[in-house]
Amino acid sequence: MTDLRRLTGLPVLALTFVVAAALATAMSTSSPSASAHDTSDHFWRIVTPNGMAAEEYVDPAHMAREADLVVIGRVESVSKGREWVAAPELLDDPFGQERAYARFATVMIRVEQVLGQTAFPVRKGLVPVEVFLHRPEVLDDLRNNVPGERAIFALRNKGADDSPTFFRLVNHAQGVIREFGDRAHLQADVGSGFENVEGVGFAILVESMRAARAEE
Amino acid sequence: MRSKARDVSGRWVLPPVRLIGATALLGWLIGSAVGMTMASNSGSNAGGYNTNPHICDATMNSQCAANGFAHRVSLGSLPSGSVMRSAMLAAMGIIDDTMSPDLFDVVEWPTSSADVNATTGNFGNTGWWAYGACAANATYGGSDPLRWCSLQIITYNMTHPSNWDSSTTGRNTVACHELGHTIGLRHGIPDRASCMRNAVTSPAALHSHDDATIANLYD
Repeated sequence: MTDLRRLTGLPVLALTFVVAAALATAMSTSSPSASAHDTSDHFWRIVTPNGMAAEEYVDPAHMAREADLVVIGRVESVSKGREWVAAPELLDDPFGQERAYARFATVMIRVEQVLGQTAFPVRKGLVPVEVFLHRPEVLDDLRNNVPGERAIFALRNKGADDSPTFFRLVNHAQGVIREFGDRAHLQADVGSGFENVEGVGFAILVESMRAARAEE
Repeated sequence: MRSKARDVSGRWVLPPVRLIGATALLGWLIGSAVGMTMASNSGSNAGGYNTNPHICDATMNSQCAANGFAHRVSLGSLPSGSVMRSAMLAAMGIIDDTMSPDLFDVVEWPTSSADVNATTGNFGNTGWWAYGACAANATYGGSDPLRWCSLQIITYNMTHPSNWDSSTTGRNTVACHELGHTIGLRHGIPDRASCMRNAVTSPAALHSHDDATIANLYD
């Protein structure tokens, strides 16, 4: 009769190592599966550029300290925003014409809590956040997929050189952290310091960002 | 004696739980590192560092590959004598010279039949310095990981305070990054000195890993 213990010992260690390595390798190279937050993911994805961001943060605490305004709220509405000619020389260029305009949608955030602010007080509980539309039809897509969940929004005021009325996400991927089932859900393209935040308790994350802001 | 894999009689015995745990952790760490290193960082619908896969489509963050080895880049929409024209020419040279011998022939081309068109504009304080996307009337072809679109349009935001264009290096890095996307390069990990890191402070150059993954993709 085979002694069960002959199947253990070093073989167990070897098997443990191989399984752990295989799982980690697979997770490092795999894509996320579909989920209940697809509508919200879509909403934020279609206004996230495949390009180089102007700001990037090492973790949520860093982002909370550096943002002009950090709030918890929900998207209340989406409307057509500002529009201007960004590149006059492209207006008659058949191959660049679609990039001649700067077009925005205004995403109105209903604020529930302010975690931190720098000289930009929230008025009437609403914050207007601009998102860039690389094509005009993206506006309808946004309107058809308005997310309903709570989220932390880390915002940058667009400033006197642009418009102090409006804010933008400090970083298109990092700047909105959403709550699903009391857990934090991030956009796909966040930095390495944000990866461990996915799935943590939303309330815990809120308090850590509030504390980071208070440490300033 | 429980810590030994064999007892005095020479039979296999169960190792302690802590040893199993440590082995699992070691395997996990090595596996994670291997996974990160193995990540292709190139191709359509292929994730890179901190970037999940997105299909090659009409959205703002689509990921496409190049339409063949002759990469025809138009600078016709850039203002004559502009700083971005210089930066684009530098980026074209980087990709043309750095990639495995003659893998890509990056050439300046008339806009009407180009694969890539570079544009600039003043888009305000958008939070992005540049992005690339398929044109509205683009033609699509191929299949993952070599699905492509043509025309691809690179858009640079020249507005203050997104003043990344204050130095030649910054401009060249952004141009290298965006043009790299158009041949299918995705974001690189921070410890690789490459313009494909998502940071304007990165060098205006490609890393040997970029070359290797692209060569593997197109070979």
